[in-house]
Amino acid sequence: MKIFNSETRVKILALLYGREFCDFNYIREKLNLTSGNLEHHLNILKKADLIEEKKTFYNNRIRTIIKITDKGKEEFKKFLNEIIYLSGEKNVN
Amino acid sequence: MDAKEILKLVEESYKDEDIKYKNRVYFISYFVSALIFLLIYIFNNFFNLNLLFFISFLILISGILIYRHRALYQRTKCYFEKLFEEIVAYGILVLLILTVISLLTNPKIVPVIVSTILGLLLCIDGILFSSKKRKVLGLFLILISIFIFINKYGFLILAISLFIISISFLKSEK
Repeated sequence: MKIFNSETRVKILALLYGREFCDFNYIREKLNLTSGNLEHHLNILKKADLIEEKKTFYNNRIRTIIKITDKGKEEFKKFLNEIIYLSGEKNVN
Repeated sequence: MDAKEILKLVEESYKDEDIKYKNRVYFISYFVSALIFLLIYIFNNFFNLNLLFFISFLILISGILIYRHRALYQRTKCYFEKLFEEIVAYGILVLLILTVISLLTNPKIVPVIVSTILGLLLCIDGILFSSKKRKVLGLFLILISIFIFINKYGFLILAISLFIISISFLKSEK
């Protein structure tokens, strides 16, 4: 899958994999990215239905909450298995 | 980026917590609990008034504060946190049932029950999120229950213990 070509996107999915949700700014700070850069990667993941974004308003504050979808979990799991398999082969060789 | 690095991120995602938010919420809940037990002690010993209004008012205020904090400040919620929420729900149910039973049979042991169950929940929290501070505080609450049981100032000791615990959550460390 082309989506996993980018290290940042893989990191975003890894970060979201075991979570219920994550704030936009939290991911930005964790991965040391700019807002624009993160937005770009999130849009690609959103188009592929791997994540979902929800904007909430509370007391005039906007929060962007990001969740990994079931499809996202499935695809990431497949990717992770492949990576582990390949790294195991590499070690044997 | 190798498999190890990705696996580390995945592992972290299961137990990573928003410590700033959690400490604030814990401060509110333990501080309000301390206040409730202090009020119970004062009203039981010095006044003969109905406490139910004050206690329900305090619980309502703390509930609103915690909900507000969750909506505004919680930046992430991991899988372990979801599990722990379920454990807390069952723990509170056990606490309520035991409190009612002890109120009907031996009201003196109410603070002992509260102290041990809150201590146990704090210990579980510490184990799940690898927090030494929470494990020690939980153990402190469990052990203080012996002192609460043999002393006639049970509610006061519990209130002071909970107040100390709430203050310790003001520091932003894990």
